[in-house]
Amino acid sequence: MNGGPLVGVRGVHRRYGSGATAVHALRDVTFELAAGTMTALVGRSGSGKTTLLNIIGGLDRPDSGTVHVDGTDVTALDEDGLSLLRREKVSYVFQTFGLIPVLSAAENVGAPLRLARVPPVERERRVALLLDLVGLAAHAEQRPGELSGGQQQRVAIARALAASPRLLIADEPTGQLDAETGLSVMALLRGVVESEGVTALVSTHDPTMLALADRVIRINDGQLDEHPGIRSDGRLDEHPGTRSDGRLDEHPGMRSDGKLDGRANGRGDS
Amino acid sequence: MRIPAPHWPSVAGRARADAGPLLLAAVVVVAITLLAGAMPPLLSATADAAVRDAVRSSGGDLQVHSRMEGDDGPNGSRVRHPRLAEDVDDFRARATDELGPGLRAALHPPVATVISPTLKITDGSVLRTFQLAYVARDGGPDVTWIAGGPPRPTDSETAAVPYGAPPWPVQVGLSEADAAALRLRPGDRLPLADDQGNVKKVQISGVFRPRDSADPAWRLLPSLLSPVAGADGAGSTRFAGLLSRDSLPDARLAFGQDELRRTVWFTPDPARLTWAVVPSVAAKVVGLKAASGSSGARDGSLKWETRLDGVLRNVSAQVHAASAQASVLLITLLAVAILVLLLAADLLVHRRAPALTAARQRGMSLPVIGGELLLESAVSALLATAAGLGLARAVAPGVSWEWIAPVVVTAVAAGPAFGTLTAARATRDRRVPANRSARRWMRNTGRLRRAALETGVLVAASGSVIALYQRGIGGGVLPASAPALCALAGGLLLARALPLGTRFALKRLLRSRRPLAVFGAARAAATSARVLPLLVLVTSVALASYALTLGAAVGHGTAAGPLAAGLLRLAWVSAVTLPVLGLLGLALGAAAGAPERWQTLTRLRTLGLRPREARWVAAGELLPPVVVAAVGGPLLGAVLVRLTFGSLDLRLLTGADPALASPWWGLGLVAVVFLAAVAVVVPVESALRRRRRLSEVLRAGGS
Ligand SMILES: Nc1ncnc2c1ncn2[C@@H]1O[C@H](COP(=O)(O)OP(=O)(O)O)[C@@H](O)[C@H]1O
Ligand SMILES: [Mg+2]
Repeated sequence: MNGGPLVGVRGVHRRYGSGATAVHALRDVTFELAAGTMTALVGRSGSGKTTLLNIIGGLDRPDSGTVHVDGTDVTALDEDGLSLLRREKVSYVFQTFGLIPVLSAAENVGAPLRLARVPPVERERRVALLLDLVGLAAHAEQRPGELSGGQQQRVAIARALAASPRLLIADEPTGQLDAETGLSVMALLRGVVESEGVTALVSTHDPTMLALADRVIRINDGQLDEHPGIRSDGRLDEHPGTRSDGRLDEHPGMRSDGKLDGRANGRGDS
Repeated sequence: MRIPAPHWPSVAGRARADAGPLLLAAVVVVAITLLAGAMPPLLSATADAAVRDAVRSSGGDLQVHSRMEGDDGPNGSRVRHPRLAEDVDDFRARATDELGPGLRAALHPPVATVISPTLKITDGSVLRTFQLAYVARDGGPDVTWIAGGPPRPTDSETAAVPYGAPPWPVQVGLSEADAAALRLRPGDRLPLADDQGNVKKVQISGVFRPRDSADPAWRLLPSLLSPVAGADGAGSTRFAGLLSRDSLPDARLAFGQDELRRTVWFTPDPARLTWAVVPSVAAKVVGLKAASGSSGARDGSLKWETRLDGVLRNVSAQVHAASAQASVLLITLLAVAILVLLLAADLLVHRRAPALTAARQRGMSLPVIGGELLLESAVSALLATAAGLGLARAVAPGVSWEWIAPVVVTAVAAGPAFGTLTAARATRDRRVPANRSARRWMRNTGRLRRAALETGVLVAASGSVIALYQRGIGGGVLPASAPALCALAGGLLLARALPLGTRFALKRLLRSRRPLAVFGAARAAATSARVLPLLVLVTSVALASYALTLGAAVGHGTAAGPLAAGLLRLAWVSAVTLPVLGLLGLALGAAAGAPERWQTLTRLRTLGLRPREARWVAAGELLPPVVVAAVGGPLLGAVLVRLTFGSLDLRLLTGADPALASPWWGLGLVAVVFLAAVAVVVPVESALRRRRRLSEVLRAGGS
């Protein structure tokens, strides 16, 4: 992996509804993800995790701001472009697993490969490999309804890895699993990030999962609060995208008024 | 026991939330009650017209003859009988009495005639014939004498005539036209002779003009009013002279004892000879004919002659055949409508399952749940029935209840029954049992239940066909249900075959490189086990083909009376209504499967499926049952035609055995419409969901 940012999120706002009942789910969110890392997105329920993940993956669009994934401006893509993005670069693991009920575990894992028109022999080889990787080689022909929650989520992880995406987005993948199963699923994710070289962004509200992540981003009421050490006086933090001298950093899409990320993220407070 | 009380706001709220399927079911009930309510009265109106037409065109006059009493006097003579006209009146009254009130009411007042044999006018070379006739109905027919006067007696009232005496003189009146053509005036003698050359002594008493030349009495012997040329094909012209009450006794003596023919004529009154009175009228006529005395009897017994019984027998057979054929079509409509209503109830319960389950788990009792659902379905079904019958009343001369019951009962009961069952299941353990033998037992019970249903339908279908062959189409509801039941049986058979086909296709496709086909086939294989939607599609297309073929056969028929036209109209109405019902079934089935279908499609979208591709996958799921219906339906329809057409008695309506031409363009059109419907349903489904972003769909449980 080149170590440069795979994901760049700049000044993203997302509001649901309008007028007095409007909910500001994301307020001026800016951050980057380095390639090949596993990042945990932590926040209470309703803090905006799902909204943020959906926008990064192109399932939703921001009201303002931009999202770059692997050099592509996701916010500029049309539906077909987003479909292609999902087919080639971004995959998801959902809290509710999201498997296709009428397909076997193996066919679920193979579905992205079918969409990518991978030749059958190669497809079957990769499906077998992935099922083996998630420890479900013996359950290849079972339907999702015949698998436990933990098993289903493993199938979902294998499926998310099938087309060798650059970015794997997992939205509370352990949310419906018991603690022990959840931990093993997290450990599996951690492992595949290493073995498959994928970049992972995993939301959770379970603090015990954090130890497995390379980095933790905290979100609170739609604003990033990446490090507990950020200061209310606006002093710099060590965010990789900002510089300690307070000057503009080199990223496109950065605010041009010279204000700092920390300040910008905290705008809602002022 | 506490009487379960409905919770009104929740009843109303539920109905509002599911207004679509409820409305659709109501529309089906309106349409079917309209058809089933209006058809029998329309048919009996057509039957009335058929009876009228038959009587008008093939004649249904009743004639009754009776020989007059002998007039032999003492010493080998004949005696003049001055009260002969009164005898004729008595005879007419007696004949009228014999009719009985039912038959009498269907006939015009009678006319009595006494008519002589045909005589030759012996004054020239042109062949001209002459008859003497006495005509009497109640108070008529009236004439005015414009020259001379009415015929008078030519001798003493009670004269006696020895056998072998010279011809007895008799006076007659002539109509203006006859008098002019014969150039005769009052007082002239008409030179006449019978076939044996016996001379008749007939004198003209006067010239008359009929008060009303359209009086039905004159119809019996038109030559009384004017010469009738060429009636016998030999170029002769007929004339006739009118006898009066006074001259009738002389006419008797002028001819041999039995030469005058005494007849009473009854003509049916088409306005009063309706289909309803045909059975009693026909029975009475048959009775009169059977009791008729022999022609030789001189005992005054009546000898009835009429073709009315035959005419009524023919028209009855036609009406029975037409109404049996109409009931065949009606039963097909009812069967498909009932399936559509079941499907609508199924969809409704599908949508309400979570709420019903929750209500049950909250402790709501089954009678309350069922009662609330019953309230809703009863109100909407009865309103729809009232609307349908109201419309029927507007288009038909009456409304019939006999056919609407099955549809109304289904509309009222299906929703509550399905809903209560669903709620009842909520408190049982619904999860698949872990125990393997328990699982097998459950599976087997389900299979057994389905096999029992299929066997039941098959037995009923074969029974109906046997009944049709043995009893004929007029043998009641069972033979008339043969096409509908056989279509159901065929549909069940295809419902067995479809999952095998889709599973086979999926297996083949899994090895292919066509992702959309794989996903579509996988969905199709999963949903092809649903019997009801396929049953609606197949039976509607098969029975529409049947109706089309029936319509074409009747339409090709040569002797298309008003009856055939009525049946034809019903056949076309059925041929249109059945596919429409099938399309409603398609929409309902699609709506019932839509949540699951679009959940899968949404999940595939998160894997990178394009929106356009999602529509193809959806079409791939919906197409197999439609293709089965579009291809299998017409074939099944053709089988039904072969199986039943021979027993439908179509020849009674069409005159000849109808040619069994399958209307291929119509069948093709039905098939194309069904395939096109998928091309409409899929974009509509997708458009209904396009407003929502994928993220919202996922959030709402689409993932
Ligand atoms: N479709 C929506 N309409 C209105 N508000 C919404 C909608 N979706 C999410 N929200 C609100 O946005 C905020 C963030 O939601 P979400 O991103 O789901 O948070 P999280 O995933 O962290 O629980 C919440 O306050 C939620 O109620
Ligand atoms: Mg969330």
